[in-house]
Amino acid sequence: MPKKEKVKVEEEEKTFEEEIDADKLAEEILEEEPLEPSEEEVPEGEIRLEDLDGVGRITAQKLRAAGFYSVRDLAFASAHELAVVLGSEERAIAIIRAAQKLVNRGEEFITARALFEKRKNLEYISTGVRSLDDLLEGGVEVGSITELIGEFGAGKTQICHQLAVMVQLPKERGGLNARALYIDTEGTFRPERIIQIARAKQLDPEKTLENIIYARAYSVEDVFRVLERAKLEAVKRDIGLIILDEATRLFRTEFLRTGERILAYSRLLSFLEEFSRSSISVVYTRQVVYSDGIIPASAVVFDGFAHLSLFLSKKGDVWQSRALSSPWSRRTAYYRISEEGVVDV
Amino acid sequence: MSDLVDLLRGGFALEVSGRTGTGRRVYVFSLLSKLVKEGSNTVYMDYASTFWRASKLSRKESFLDKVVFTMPTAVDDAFQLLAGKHDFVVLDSIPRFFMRFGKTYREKWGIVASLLALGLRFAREGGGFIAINYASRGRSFGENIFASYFTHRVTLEEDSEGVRAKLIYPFEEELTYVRF
Repeated sequence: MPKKEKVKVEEEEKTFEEEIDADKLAEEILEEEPLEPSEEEVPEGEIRLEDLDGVGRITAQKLRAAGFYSVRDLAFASAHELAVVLGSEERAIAIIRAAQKLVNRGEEFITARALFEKRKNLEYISTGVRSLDDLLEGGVEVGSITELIGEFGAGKTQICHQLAVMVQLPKERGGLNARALYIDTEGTFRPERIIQIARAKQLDPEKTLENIIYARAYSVEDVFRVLERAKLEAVKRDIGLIILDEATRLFRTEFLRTGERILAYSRLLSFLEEFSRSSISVVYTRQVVYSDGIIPASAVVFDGFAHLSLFLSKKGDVWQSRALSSPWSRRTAYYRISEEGVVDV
Repeated sequence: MSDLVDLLRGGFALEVSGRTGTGRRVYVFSLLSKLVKEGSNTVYMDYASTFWRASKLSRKESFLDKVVFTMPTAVDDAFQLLAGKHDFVVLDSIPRFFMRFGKTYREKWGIVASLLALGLRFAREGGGFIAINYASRGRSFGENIFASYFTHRVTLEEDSEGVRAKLIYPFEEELTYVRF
């Protein structure tokens, strides 16, 4: 951007700032917990928001306050979402395009074959179960979104517990040497279970528990607050996996009007997508409803959202996962759930 | 039993609907592999991570080299893709596009309807527009509003014998269904 134009943008921002009640704003800021990462917390080599054309210091502050911490966040933001922060959709689109240029280095389109080449060095979180890893062709891929769908007792929470432990293992044992963030909407998380699984994996149970950041969400607003907070925690605490167990119940009970529910879900999905784009694996669970057979809850909302959808069920003493929406549709993995966690049959 | 490709002559706006796991994307890929010829220009609006899934396929799908995947982040950019520069445009999917854009619930419906209207115009000018949709209990998502924007509608249904493809508009017809 030419210097004159940049100065003009900053002047416009200043005029806008003067129109706000400064005392009220200062009071609000002091009341809030600092969410914004300080300069030294911006990872080395990462492009700062201020480096983008059209983004001055004040705009950058506004963007961070609204949860856009990196150029990557902006590159994948939706124009209307950003327009709410910036006051103009045209300006939002210009900033998104500038961010996309930096993130993609101008590669707007690539072929699937080029992507295939790019993906050869990807990392995975092993599930600890050979048949499940085979089903997923290596485990939960870094930066992917995986959904576990099933009835009560199908083993969704058990796999979540196991993954929260597995992600902590060193890379040579199938983990990422990273922490897990566990958001529990149903109160089914059990530290005792984590201790059992950790022991079976020869990990120090105390340390394993320390490496799981847990949050209980009692309402949809709780879920959003935790996810907002998680954006910062993910950077500070080396989070490799975010688990949301379960994703639909609170939304279905709190929002009886479809329109409101859809808007709340849109917000949830954009949060999850954001984590995925930051190379954090996301795993969430979904209940089923009974209507002309078993249907995953909130089916339209989530249809095609996750990279991988696994349908979990139990037959006698054996549990099974079927890949519903994946390149390997119709394949099934079989396993057992024991004291040591989820294990091969 | 007919092959859908034989029914899609000239321009078309096709809806492929079905439940999660019925193989809608596999079906569309199969269709594209027959439709996309050397030198044709195909763009795939990928809001459902199909790009990711396609790249995971160990099998070599050479036609994918002729398809460009994109995910416009602004509604106008998505609309632009139907401006007539391409031979085929795929929207994957209607629910994902619906969830992504629009500040209000009503606006979301309007944005999808606008895109589908452009798809229909694109078809009138000789282009091929394919939209993937969700369907359950014999109805596709937003059927009351969106159905009128398609020249052809196919639904995939699962029964005890497997998945069947069925043309439901402009007339009812069982279709050949090949998985790969």
